[in-house]
Amino acid sequence: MILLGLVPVAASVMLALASGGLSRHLAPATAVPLLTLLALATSLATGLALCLAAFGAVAQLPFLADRAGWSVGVLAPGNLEPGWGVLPGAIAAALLTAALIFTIRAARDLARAGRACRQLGGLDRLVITHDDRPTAYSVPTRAGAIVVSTGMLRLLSADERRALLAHEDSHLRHRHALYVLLADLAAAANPLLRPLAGRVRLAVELQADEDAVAEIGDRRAVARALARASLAVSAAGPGPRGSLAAPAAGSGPRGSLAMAQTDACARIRALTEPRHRRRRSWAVAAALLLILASSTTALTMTWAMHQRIEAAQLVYAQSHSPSPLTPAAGRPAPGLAPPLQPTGAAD
Amino acid sequence: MTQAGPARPRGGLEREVLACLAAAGRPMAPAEVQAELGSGLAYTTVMTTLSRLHAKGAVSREPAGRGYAYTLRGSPGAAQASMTAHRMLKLLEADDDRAHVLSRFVADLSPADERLLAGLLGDEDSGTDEPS
Repeated sequence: MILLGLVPVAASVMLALASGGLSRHLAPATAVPLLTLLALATSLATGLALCLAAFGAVAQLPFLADRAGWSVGVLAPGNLEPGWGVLPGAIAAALLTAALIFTIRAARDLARAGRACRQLGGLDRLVITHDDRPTAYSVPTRAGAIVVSTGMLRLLSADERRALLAHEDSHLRHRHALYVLLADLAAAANPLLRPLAGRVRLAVELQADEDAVAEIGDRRAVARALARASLAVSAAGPGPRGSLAAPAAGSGPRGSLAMAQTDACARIRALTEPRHRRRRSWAVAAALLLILASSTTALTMTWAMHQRIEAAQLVYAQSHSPSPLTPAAGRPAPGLAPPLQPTGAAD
Repeated sequence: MTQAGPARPRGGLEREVLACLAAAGRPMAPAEVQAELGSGLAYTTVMTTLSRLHAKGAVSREPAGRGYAYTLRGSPGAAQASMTAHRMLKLLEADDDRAHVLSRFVADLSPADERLLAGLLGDEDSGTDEPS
């Protein structure tokens, strides 16, 4: 049981170390859904493993076992001692709280952004703000909107403006904000997955860049738009970091997706040196394998715990039945337990 | 109906025309818009787009020469709109702080990155103005 629970943890550690190598060999369009799914599966499996470990320990507490009617002797082997159950329990509670807070904040911020966006009006999902500071982002409301300041538009040439609009349009069209939110949620519930969530964010930008290239047919123009926007935002930002540069930088995870800023150089490299980005099918296979490992582990653990509880209830019922056939009342001897143990919970 | 050059998404050209007018910040004749947008757009296409935008109330026009010159129309409650935009940015700023708590590297360009990007732009448009 305990060893099985280490599988998703091991997967998380592996992803913390190797998410870059994995995503580098995936085409952005594949990476976005695949890495998001990977983050969610691993995060769920880790959370479940922690909860089950805590449950397996706490369930042995005598007063609880008597209440629920299950035999402590059957539950004990392979599960943590009750005292140790505090550890996974506390971690699970903390992570669950983090995920909950993240969800509430994200929902609230999305609602606010949507409201502000509706007030701004705009046409054809384009909102132009009359502002000299360079900003560009998209707001993932139901209809979706691209918000660009005149300051940003003035910096760019016609084809660069077109690249920017196509890039943001791609974010809206592919519902990128949803993937980024889900990956960030997974990372909130399992901090080891933060690098992976970062990769999802980068993959989303790379895909939007590629979509912009596909639309305007000019890699250099997209790279130029990106470089110019990044430099301008960076130059506008030196004040208290909160000037208008910051929203473009950090808004990615929640409210909206910024045109420039996230991993600008990695994106420009991808645009200007496309040949360096080789796609490997093993990367897809590795990601799928990890998803499979996490989800089967989670299912197996749940199933094994279920079996164990049923066995423990059976033993408890037998030992507490008034039938004279039962050898001894009270707690069953440890020797009684093994034959009833489910085979799946070998550990 | 599509012109030379890669396909645009629906509404894409209208957005580009709006962006073009916003960038210019002054009235533009259809021919100027056409020249600015380039990419093989036909005059009639630009003209049609501008009239459509005018019909939607997104741009205003004034007689100029034999035709019209078009300007991006500030929304009626421009002051309020800019306040809303400001509030939105405040909101996104708050996001940034919280995202920070959740630890992600906020992609402030490093000096090396800035040099790299500036170099790229320098190569690209030798002579054109650089954003200061």
